[in-house]
Amino acid sequence: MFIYDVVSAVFNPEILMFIVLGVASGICIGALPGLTATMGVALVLPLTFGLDASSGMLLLIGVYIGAIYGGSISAILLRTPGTPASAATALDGYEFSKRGEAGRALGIATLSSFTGGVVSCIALMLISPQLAKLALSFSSPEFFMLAVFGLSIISSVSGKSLSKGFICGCIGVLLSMVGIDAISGYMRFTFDNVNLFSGISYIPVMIGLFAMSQAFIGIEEIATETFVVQKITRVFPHKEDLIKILKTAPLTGLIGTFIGIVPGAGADIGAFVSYNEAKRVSKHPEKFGTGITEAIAAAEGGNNGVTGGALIPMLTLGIPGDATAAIMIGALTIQGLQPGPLLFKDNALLVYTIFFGLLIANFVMMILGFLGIKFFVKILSIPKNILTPIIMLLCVVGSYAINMNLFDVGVMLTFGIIGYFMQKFDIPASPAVLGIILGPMAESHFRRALLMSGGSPLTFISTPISIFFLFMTLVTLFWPLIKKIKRKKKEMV
Amino acid sequence: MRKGIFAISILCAAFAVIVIAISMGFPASRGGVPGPGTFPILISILLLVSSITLFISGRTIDKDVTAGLLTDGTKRVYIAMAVMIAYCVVLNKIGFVVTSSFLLFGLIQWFRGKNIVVNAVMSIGIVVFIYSVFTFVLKVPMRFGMFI
Repeated sequence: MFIYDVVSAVFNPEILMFIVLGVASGICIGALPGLTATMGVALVLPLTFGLDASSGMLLLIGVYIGAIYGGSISAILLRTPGTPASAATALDGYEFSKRGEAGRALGIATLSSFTGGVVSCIALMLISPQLAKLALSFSSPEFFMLAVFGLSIISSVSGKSLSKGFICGCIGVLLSMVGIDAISGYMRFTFDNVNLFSGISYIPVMIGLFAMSQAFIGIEEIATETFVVQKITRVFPHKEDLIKILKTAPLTGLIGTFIGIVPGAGADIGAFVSYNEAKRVSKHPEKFGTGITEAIAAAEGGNNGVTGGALIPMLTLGIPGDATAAIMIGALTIQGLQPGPLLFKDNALLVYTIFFGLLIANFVMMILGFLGIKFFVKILSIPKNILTPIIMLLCVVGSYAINMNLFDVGVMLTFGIIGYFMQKFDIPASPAVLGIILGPMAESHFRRALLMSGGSPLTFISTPISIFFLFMTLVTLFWPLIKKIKRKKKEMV
Repeated sequence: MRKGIFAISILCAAFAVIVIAISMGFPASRGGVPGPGTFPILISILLLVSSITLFISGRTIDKDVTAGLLTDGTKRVYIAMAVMIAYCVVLNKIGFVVTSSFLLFGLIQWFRGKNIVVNAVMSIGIVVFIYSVFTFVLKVPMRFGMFI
């Protein structure tokens, strides 16, 4: 009976329409160089406010997977990845285009993305309920250690400079503390401003950091135009390509899924790790980079594999797998739902509708990819000088629509400007997002745990789960340092 | 780049000190249970340490490496930022459709040039479309200011 409810919910014409709309707009956003999947999800988010939770979430998921796939279009045709996730695809994809086989490469990318996406979706369906069941036994000390582990991921998303990442993460956590303290009811950092009493809404912050700042970057490069001169012919893969895809993409999809589960590791890492792994096990590793089927299949299977993986910690533990998942957490909270183990208990129908909807979205992506590729290629010709002002306007409308408050527009613009300068100084924005999302979780459970234990800090290492998270935190924090020392030793040898 | 990194680290360190100073005025911890100021102080200390580390590591950056803050492209961005700030200030007073139409037309005309009438019609069309979707479909009231 439950399965029937889920199937009928997903095959509801309205939900199907939102999935198709999401995937199609995601492909368009992903295909345009400079527009990322995170930016796409942030821009589409305001459209979900008037929708029910399942329609809204599936619209966003459609945009997410569509954008990750769409990035391959410009990667193959222009050697410019539409999203960072397609950087690995550009290595071999453009070689196909140079040989006049762009259509073939696009077909390989479509089928591989679909395979990777389906594998990750199956993993999501199998792993999530078990993880949620385990998380139901967590109490405040475990949740605090889990939040600390989530925050420790900052070290792996900080790029070249750990201190920049930590600065950004700390500022994110401090921002989340503005407003009424949830435990004591005390006003913190509000400066008698009514707009700050309920805290800084993090969706405008994210729209600013990921969409507005990107629009400013777009203005900087406004003179650059892209043109596709190659004609797209057959896109359906040949039999020999099909065999190679089916040999490579399921495995790299699985690699991508596990990378997606690790909070902070995004689709770009998933694609490169998968590409390298396929190259390592290949009988002809020297052919990678010259335009071969396995290379595109590995990269695309890997990056689309991340999509389902990133949803696992988001839905089961309330920890964002990446920045896009963080925005989806925002979408769920706007609907009055709290991601985490209780979501599985209290809103099982919604959770399984999302799972099944993700599967359908992957099918929609494949169908649109094969049938509509000529249209999506035309998207590449949209002039940046028209698109960028429209994106700026959508950022304004999107941030206003959350609380119907113009103060949020000011917050968005402020963070858009800050985000632009952060990009100029190579400061990553993802740690700030982790800080904003996980800060309140860490603080409230930290204080609750101490309240319950009568102030004993030993409560944080009193259960095997807490100790496990502590161990994971230490490994995550010191892993970049260990890697650095190893690299230096290697260089010395 | 080097000067910028120094400026960022000093700004962040100052921010951390201010947060610590404000948080010291919050109700104190009782019986080992942290008060509302404990967590902000802990995080600010971490921010302070990270800022000092960034300052020290900034000394290793080559003086010749620039962040490219004064190119033609960035100057265009600064003007756009100023335009957006001005837009946000007048938005509340004038109204969404009128202000946004001027903003969009101004930006498109500046970036694209070409036919002024086409750009004007396109700008108004896009703004009216966005306004209609949000007001009538998504039920987000966008009525504020003197006009619409």
